[in-house]
Amino acid sequence: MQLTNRFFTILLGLIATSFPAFSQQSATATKPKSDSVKAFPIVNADFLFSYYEQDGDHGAVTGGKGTQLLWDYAGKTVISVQLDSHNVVGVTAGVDQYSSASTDNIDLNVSSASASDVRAYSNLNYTRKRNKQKSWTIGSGFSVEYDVTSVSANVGYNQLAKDENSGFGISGMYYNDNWSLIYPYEFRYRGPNPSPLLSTNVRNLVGVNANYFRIINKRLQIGLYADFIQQWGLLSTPFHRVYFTDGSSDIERLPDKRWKVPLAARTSYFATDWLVLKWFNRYYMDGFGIQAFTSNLDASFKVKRYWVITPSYRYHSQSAADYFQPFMGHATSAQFYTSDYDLAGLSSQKIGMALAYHPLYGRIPVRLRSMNRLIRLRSLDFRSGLFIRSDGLRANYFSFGASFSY
Amino acid sequence: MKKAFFVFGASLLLTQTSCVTVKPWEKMYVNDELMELKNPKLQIYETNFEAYREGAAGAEGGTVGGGCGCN
Repeated sequence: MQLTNRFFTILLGLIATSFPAFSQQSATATKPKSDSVKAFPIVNADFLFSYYEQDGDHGAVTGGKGTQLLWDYAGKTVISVQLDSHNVVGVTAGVDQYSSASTDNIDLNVSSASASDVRAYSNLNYTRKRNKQKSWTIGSGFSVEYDVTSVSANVGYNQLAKDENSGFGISGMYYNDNWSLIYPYEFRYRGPNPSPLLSTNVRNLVGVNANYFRIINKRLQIGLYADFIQQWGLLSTPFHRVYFTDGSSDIERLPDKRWKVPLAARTSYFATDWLVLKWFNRYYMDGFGIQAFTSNLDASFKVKRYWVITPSYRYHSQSAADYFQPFMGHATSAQFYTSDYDLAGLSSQKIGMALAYHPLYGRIPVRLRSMNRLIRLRSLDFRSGLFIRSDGLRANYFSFGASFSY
Repeated sequence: MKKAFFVFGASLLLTQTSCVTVKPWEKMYVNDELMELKNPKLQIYETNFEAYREGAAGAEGGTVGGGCGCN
């Protein structure tokens, strides 16, 4: 309850401080008189912020029983620069800061360093448009947090049909995560020259994504998506505990290979001039034995000129991983074991609401003296919702984004 | 697994046989910003926490790897 009250206080505060800005924007002229012809480079900038909090009683650090209380603040900037009609460069940089009561249980020091962490990340992408129909993209990124550093690379190709009624894309990605192996305190001191608890501290991922879209008629289009992902290396989390039926304990142990295949379809339907429906369905299977189905429906109502309200509902259902058992549920003879409820058989629901302000020509154009161009506000977006998992975990989130162009 | 691929393939075939050619001047509705076949940029945060709090992820433009995500 206290969690929910705090969440809504933050939500109302952010909305209240935003409304004066809206009224000022409304008072300004609608379509700017100048710069109707864009000159390169064209810069788009997105500033995104998110707040997320959760609570539950199945913390994996404490073997599937214990607090999952967590707060996470995230901020991100996405800048895209269209250098000319063929070349686009994109840069993303962001920081997440979280405070977790669950990871605070890795050691005996309450409110120790493990209680909070900061993750910083950045990506750089370059897109080359060969012509109106064909483009390819190449990029790389990195992220740093207390116990994990990660580097990634991606490459992709997209092609539209001549009539632009269909198109396909294919992309590949690679991630390499290096972990500092932080064990629960009771596993750290095992005498002189102990054998290593885990054989590797590196996690790798290779993935291929294929997608295809087709305009069915004037109001309906559909997209199909398939990912083929292979992970190998350290796939368990070193500081997750597992308790066995006889009361003994160990760290989480999982196989060193895992494949994942999600298949998804997305449909957009322009029902009326004031209603757009979007439906997403996904079937998922992986090498740990999880099968899952996810469905999401968004209904976007154009309530006023430039304003859109989108209520949404999402349902997810999954079977348990072969290696999952709850607290003290594992036999000591098992080779692989986890009590992480993210891998349990469960369902989840998400009820969300989005509010968007997308002016046609951009609002509050600002002309800087040194520049003969206008900075425009392209959009303001708010999203909020409630996530409920069948094991009792509840989460709230709120996010805000502002998009500008220059 | 075979059934899933069959349904996916059938959907692909259906898109090839059941559609009409829409001329550029008839794309007023499909070109609407709300009709985009991808998640809004701001939804990336939700896609990320769903990927961590559920055992399934992918095929929707969110995180499929990188970092801890273990809280």
